Amino acid sequence: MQNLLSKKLEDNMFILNEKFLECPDIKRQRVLLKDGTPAVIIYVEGLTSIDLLQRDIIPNLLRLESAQVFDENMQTVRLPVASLSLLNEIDALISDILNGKTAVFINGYDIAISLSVIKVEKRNISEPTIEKNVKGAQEAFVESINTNISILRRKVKNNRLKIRLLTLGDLTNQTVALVYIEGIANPEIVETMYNKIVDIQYDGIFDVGYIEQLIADNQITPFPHYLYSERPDKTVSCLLEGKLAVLVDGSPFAMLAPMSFFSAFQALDDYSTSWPVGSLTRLLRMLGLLMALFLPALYIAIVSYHYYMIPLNLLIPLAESRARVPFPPIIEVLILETTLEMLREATIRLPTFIATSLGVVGGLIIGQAAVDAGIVSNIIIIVVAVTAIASFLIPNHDMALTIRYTRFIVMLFAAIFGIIGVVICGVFLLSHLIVLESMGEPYFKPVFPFNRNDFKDIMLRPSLKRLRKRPTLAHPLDKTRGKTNDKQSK
Amino acid sequence: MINKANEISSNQVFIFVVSAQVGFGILSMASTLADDIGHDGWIAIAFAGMITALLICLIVATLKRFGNITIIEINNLIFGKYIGRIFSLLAIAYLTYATVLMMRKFNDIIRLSALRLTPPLVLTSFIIIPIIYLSWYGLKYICRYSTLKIFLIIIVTLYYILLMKYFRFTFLQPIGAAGAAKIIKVSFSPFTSFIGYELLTFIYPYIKDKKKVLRNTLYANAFTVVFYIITVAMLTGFFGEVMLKQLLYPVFSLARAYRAPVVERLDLFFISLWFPIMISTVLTYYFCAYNSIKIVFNIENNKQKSKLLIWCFTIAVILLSRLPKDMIQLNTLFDQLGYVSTAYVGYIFICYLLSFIKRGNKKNEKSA
Repeated sequence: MQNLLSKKLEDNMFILNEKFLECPDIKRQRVLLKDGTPAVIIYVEGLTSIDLLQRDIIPNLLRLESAQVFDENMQTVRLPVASLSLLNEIDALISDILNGKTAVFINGYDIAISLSVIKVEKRNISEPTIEKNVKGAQEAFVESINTNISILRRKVKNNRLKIRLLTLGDLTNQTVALVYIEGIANPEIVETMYNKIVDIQYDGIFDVGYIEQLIADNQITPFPHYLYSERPDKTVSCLLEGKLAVLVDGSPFAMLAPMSFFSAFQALDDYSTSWPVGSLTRLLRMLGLLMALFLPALYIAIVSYHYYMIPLNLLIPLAESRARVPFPPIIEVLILETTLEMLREATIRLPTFIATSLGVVGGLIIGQAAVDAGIVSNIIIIVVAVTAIASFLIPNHDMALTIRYTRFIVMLFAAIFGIIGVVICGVFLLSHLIVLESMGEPYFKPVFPFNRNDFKDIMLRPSLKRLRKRPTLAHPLDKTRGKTNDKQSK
Repeated sequence: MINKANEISSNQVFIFVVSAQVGFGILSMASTLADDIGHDGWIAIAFAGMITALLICLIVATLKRFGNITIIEINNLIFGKYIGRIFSLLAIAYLTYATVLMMRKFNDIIRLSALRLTPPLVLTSFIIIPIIYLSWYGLKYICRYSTLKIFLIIIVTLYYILLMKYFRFTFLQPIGAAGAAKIIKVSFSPFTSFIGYELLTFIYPYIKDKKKVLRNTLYANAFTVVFYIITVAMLTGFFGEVMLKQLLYPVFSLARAYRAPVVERLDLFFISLWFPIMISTVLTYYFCAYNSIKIVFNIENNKQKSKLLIWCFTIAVILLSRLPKDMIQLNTLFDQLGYVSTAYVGYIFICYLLSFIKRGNKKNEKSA
């Protein structure tokens, strides 16, 4: 199959018609120029602005003679359009047409005009739905990559914001953007990421999550390798730390890399309030993490093996309420926890009007009715409810899910080995987190291996004046924030 | 070629050595010392620490002399391929012996403090899981994990502050009552609790910056000595030497003494703190044994064989750890472990001496 255009319009049309067989959305319009030369306009209906085409392009085209369309050097055309390119390869033209551009073929020329009069139907920029914030910007990414890039550009008005575009999806041909700030992001990490993404062989990428799984360093882990955010402000704050953002056309999320375990517990609100409040929120979240992981397991361990640890005043009501329950603690906890997880999963995918009634049903199960029926005891309901609340504290959705499921493993071993099970599971979890790496950077970084500068921003949130140094996780080239340093580096 | 996952910095040497040293010896050391010299145990520890520091200098000097190799390669260099291999296997047998005993002791402590009825084989197979996992990934990760231990040791020390009001200084007086000669003589007994530094001979080539090795190892030894002195002094001042003699694991008995306001018994949490500490001690020995076997049989870069080896080794450790019949026999074996490790250090000293002869030979050959 020949790849270059021929001078005869009919030959070109024959090839294109064959390629676009059974594609009724691709319109092929024949027109005649002023001197009677036939020309063909090809575009995808729905991706092209018909108004602009009718008003500006076609009338001007019809007014020209075929010899007048191109300039002498065949560099440009006499048409009022902001962006155009001249192509002579059929494959490139097809890819342009499919990306929403309009192609014009003129008889007698082996070169075609590709005009950008794109108009894509898209969602408006809306509020974030998953990462809510009290203060700060109330906008989220949308599905269109061009809009997302423009949002980032609006936030970073600097030519150092660099965007590398590539195409992914062997079948879907989606645009992927690798965004970073030159002078801050470490070129080594940028290159590694770029090469990793280029190497991806997959038919279609429907979300940035696909990219994560295809390039992850460690395939056997429940923990997320990279951070996701639908918030442009969070993305920019990560870019300023020297991290990279990956955007995929069709996904309203940015993937941020590299990531550490603790960055899943940071929210932008921590930084926009005063530091004592921000620090307390952080501590609360860390406590939430520990409770979400270990509270039901500790309950099981203590009730089944080490009941002597419970104060006597509490032991009596506990024994009374446990006496009516026919199951061992682990079964009791599993019944409630599994129901709760089902409830949570169901609410995500149900239509909103059914979800409300689900809340009522859920309230019955995790409530007095279950106790009265003698299935569970009073205290376990409190334990499970507190654990659930604690797990909702984790700001990162992926991390919260992982923690929720890991809890079940800890619970099972607590039922078999008591407190030893909890401790060994904790040790194993820690070992796993230590072994994990995100883009070659230790996942558990500021703690093991210890880094003093980064550590102060983990459990607490020091005042912004004391956070002059960028976190070292991404090995930023420019190590301090602020202008004085900027001048020096120039 | 050195695997990247095994490479450690010289600061991590500190963590590694502390990790190998602190673990099992300290749990019962105070009562052994009380048996021998009464309330002056802490002085004996200080002496033992100094002896250990000297031995560390000796080991580092030996390693420096041979350059960038482990004891396995040193054996091959000095004794030739076949005899050297026998010595290497003996060294590995020593490491395995230590691992097995520690594993068994760990198991017994858990049975004593928390789970009385769990079948020992099941328990051992369970607690060994994180050890296998980290050993498989390499030394770098082991050192990262062991950083936790430093934090835990500090927490344990802080726990003593809670009990300061029961501390009686009179229990420690008169200082030096046992007499200098006896203290020095006895100081060879806690000396066995300091074993762990000899593992340096197995990990030396993996250290990136070798200049600070000696300094950091000595710091690690000092850290251990200070922790031991504080612990033994605390235990002696708390229980008194008469009471101390009767306790099996005085560190745990100390934990039971504290009455927390809300939680009925805090001791289980305190004992739980010790489990990660003990795991990392077993871990260091386990890794050194496993890694040395890999070097001896030259399968460092063969993933399939390494996988087979780690499973076989694990099963061997679990089964061997069932061999000691009871706690008394185990304690006797543990005491002997101290002598074996001393013998190993002596062997390194011999290597050091032989290195001069070898070097001399080479010079002769060259001049001839």
